[in-house]
Amino acid sequence: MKAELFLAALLLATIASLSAPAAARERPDAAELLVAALSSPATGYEAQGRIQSFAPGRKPRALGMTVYFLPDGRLRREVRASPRKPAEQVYIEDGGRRELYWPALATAWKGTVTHESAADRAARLLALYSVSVSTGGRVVKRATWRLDLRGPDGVLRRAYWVDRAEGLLLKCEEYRPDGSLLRRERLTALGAARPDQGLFRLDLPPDTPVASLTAPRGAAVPGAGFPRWIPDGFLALESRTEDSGRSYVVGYGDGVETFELRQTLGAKPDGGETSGRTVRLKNGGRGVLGREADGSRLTFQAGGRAYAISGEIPEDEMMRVADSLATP
Amino acid sequence: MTDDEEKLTDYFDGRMAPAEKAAFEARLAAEPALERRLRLLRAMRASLKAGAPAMPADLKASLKRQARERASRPRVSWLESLRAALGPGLGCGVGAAFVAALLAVAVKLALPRRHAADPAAAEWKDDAAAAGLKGLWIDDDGRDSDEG
Amino acid sequence: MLERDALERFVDEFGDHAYSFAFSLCGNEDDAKELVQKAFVKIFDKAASYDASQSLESWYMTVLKNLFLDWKRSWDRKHKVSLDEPTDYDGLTVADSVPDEREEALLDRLERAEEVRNVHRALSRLTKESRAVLTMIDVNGMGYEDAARALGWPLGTVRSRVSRARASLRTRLLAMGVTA
Repeated sequence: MKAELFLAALLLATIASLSAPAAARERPDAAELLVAALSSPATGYEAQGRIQSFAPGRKPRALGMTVYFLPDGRLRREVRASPRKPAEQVYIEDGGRRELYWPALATAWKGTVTHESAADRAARLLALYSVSVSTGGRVVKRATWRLDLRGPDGVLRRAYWVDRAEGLLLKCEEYRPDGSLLRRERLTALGAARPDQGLFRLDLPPDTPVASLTAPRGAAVPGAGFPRWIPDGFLALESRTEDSGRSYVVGYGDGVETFELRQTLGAKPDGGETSGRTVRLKNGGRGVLGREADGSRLTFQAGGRAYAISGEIPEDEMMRVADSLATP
Repeated sequence: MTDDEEKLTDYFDGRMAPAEKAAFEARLAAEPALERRLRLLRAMRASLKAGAPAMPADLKASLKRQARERASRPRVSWLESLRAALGPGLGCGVGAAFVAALLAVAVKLALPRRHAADPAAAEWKDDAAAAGLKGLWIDDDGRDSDEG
Repeated sequence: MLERDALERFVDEFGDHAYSFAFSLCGNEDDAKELVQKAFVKIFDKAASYDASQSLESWYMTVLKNLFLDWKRSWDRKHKVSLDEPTDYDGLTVADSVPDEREEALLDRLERAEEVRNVHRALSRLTKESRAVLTMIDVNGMGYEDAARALGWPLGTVRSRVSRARASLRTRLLAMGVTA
């Protein structure tokens, strides 16, 4: 689950111990509400959440998470099928480091943190989508505003349910470009807590092999670029070269969704330019974002290479992957 | 595209509303040129179908052989069939831990990867992680259990 | 997961349709075989994750999608132009009002199945979009919705392109002097 969703639980936990929630205000400004929803709260907490994944041709699938958070930005996320089951993966963010330990595979993955301010994250979303506010239902017993983010074609891409009293993100839904539901993430329980410091350390058994969180362990093309950020829960699962070594493809997955990062030395990305709309990367470079099959495709150039990101992750996440590549 | 061509398309592909259909059929009975166009569409379709190339026998045989190989490949499919054998009632909680344990065994057994020895293909796959990630997710009804 | 023989049944049931679609895109047997091979192998690899309660038909859709995307990529690479560029008509302008006798003669020969090869020859000269959509709808009997999903086009686009494709095919056949 995305970090910001769990940040919501922080203040909710605090509020739970306070008096009755503030009465709903008049409808807030959509952009301001978006920034508030993506902002970090200020106290420690523990929360449970659930992610549901939807795709045509298969039943929905879900997984559960427990998250512990400290206001200095430290985060511990445990993935488990349901709250009663033992954790299967443990993920820690501590200062600039990120680590994932998966006991069953006796392997750890490490990377660096690339934080984005709420304002930057909101700016990326607002550059891609138009945002509007409406009345939301109740989530975790809180009254909410609902933020709808729509693409230029008017199709809903993301919906956020934001707690009215404190502007916290409680639930979000992601949609494919064709409007079908891709994923829903929501809090299911939360509580005020002062998580123990020890929770934010991973004590790996000696000789645990360590891999990169965002780059494949397999054969790489010399000089290949890798993203510093990929969506939560994803790992590099395969890599290959195509076109007699001209193109290098890395496949990422999280168990239900996949996306590919393809890079080609030279002018054009393998597969040609995407037809779609022009978007601006953080470094000022230009990209083209369009639809491909059930998902999206983003093509852009960086460092003398042409890149294409394609798959089922939301467009703004593709942009964020691209931004983490383009920056040297 | 003329209006008649549009109507012919809709009628021919079975996408015309019933009310419109009746009116169009009346026109077909009364206008030979229109009816001829419809017959032309039918005849072209029949010829297209008749002459469509069939999958060459060698390709079909090769694909079926590969299908058989995949179906009997132990690395992923016996894990999956194990999960299936655990039964729907157990859900993923127990199953996932069991599968995870099996994965650990698989990793230790270091089953050979498909293109490990072929540098030209430069292929790499993390089958254990892929299967493990898949196993983290359990079947769900997909409902949103919020109030309102 | 699909049972053992389901993958083989899948090849039997949908192989011809998939191949005719691939052939309509590539125009030759070698490329079509390679395209089909790649698409099917991708599906075989994903077989373990397949939900057996879904129909093989929807699985087949994925094969076609992969086929089309792979073909698009290699085509774009060779021609350095995106397939999504809007294309014009097939280049023939024939007055819409063709003498009745010519159409009658064409219809006569078509209905007697005498022009099957010429029809396919004419098909091969249409634009790639026309060939793709005609193969899906007329040869393989797919519905608009499935074709739209496989090709990544809006429904309205499927409808207009299939209509134009049939008009172009008819025009080509008339121009080829099929009417003798």
